[in-house]
Amino acid sequence: MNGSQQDISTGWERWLERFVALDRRWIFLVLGSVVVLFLVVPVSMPVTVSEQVRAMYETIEALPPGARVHLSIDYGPGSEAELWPQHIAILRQLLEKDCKVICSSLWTDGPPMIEKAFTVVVGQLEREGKKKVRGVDYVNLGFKAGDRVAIAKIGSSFKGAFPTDYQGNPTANLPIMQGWDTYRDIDLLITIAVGDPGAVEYIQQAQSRYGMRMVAGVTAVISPQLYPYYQSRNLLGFVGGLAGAAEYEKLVGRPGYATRGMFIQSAVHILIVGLVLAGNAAQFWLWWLRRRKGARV
Amino acid sequence: MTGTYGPFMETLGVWLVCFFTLAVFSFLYRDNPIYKAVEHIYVGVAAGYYFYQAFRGTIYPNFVLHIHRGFQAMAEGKMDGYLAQWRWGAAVLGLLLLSRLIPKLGWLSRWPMALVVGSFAALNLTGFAKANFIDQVAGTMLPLASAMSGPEALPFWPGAKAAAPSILNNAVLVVGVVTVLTYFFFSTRRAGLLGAMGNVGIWFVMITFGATYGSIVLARISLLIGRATTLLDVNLPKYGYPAYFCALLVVGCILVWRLKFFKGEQER
Repeated sequence: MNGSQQDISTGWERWLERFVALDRRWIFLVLGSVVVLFLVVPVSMPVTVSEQVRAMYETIEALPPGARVHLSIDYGPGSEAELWPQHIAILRQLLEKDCKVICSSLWTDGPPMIEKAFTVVVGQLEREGKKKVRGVDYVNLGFKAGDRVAIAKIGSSFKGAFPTDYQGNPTANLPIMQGWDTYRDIDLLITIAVGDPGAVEYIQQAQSRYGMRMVAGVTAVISPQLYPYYQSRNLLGFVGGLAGAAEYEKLVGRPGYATRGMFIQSAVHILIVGLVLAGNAAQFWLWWLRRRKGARV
Repeated sequence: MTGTYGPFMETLGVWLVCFFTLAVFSFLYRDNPIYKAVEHIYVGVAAGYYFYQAFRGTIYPNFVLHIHRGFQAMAEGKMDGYLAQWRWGAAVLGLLLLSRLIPKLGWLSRWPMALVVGSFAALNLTGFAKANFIDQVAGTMLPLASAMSGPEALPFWPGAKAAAPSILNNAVLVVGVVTVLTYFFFSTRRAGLLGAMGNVGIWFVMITFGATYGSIVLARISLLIGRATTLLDVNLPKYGYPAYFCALLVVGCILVWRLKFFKGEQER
């Protein structure tokens, strides 16, 4: 290797070393900038509906008016970004179909999310001339501690597990709670969940025990765990993360927050894949340059 | 914001949302006093909130209210009132859990703990056995051709129709289950056919890890989009552009700390 070749090699090496040791805060800054850029300048992209999301939509669509649905809201504000769009789309679909929606939560921060969703969806429906009454068409039973034990207790007696609703009214007196008490009287179980207790616990303690029809909305982190249960028909369908929510919004014909986030999500993913590839290529190149230099010295 | 509060509380809420979000994001620069303060506030508020919800959702309706109604029924001479009193037993067991706070009486907590562990294990065992074992085994017994007759029937399998995607999916699933189970079969040396199957199995495991990691990235970016959307959506003139002012406040505080109080040596 002559002098000029060695200089070029050293120059590349120095540049690659700097790239490989790049301060990760630059990556955070670029990621944040991409997100803000495409929020300010929205770009739409086509959304393709996956099989499990369509199956969930069709399961809910097949419910007759007046069907009893237990909607367990097992997430808090920390997962609102992913689960709120699903929550709103599913709740609206249920109330539009005149289902009786019985909400509860295994997470302490779930009941306020239930209240917030009722405020939004019932308000929207009222403005469209469809009045829904608390205690008749829907109810918030609140939080129940006990994880799996709580699910088993709810399944054997709703009124026993929840003597009062979130507002403090005795559940035995509510019109929506008349004439039934166990999971055998529920037409569909839906959980919108972020972790444990959540979808897997409901499958184990409620679906498999009572042979119920069940669907779920979960975060993207949880969704890979649910494919085996979908395959074995424990779950009739499920929605995973913001991408799943965007697909669901397409099915219900009301594009919203999740659809808006899809292009940003794709742009950031392309950026991350590009960075992973570039980082690996730089590492290999550096290794090759050093190996070649070592062999020549 | 759902508009269930007055305008002042709504504006205050919006400002707090912006400030706390940006203060937590400031950790991306480096650990700093603003982040630390917000972290401590969050832990304190969360602990108080969880205690309140646990009391409101469980202790009050399932114990306090129940016992109160029991006394009322007892006063009326009803049998239900006496039956309601068994919940005192559950309350005593619950209190015994707190005996761990007194070292000499700590052993008393083992009784309620035994009850919790026993019931939890029994419930888990039955639910797990059905959903995670029996149903999964049944779910893996898949046809490699759907049983249908007609003109599209496969020539080499009368009465079966070629449903290419589902046959392929089923085949991948069965091969994946068998080879991954082979990989985790430790009772004999993996060589020959077993070794080859184990090698295929490890590829399935690696692809699963990759898919899971991809889902985690998807989830984390969704959270970032969620916070950024909130910041932009509430950054309105009617609230006084809280995102801009809170960003300036957080950056200003970090600058002051960095220039006046930051001791690089200590931090290293």
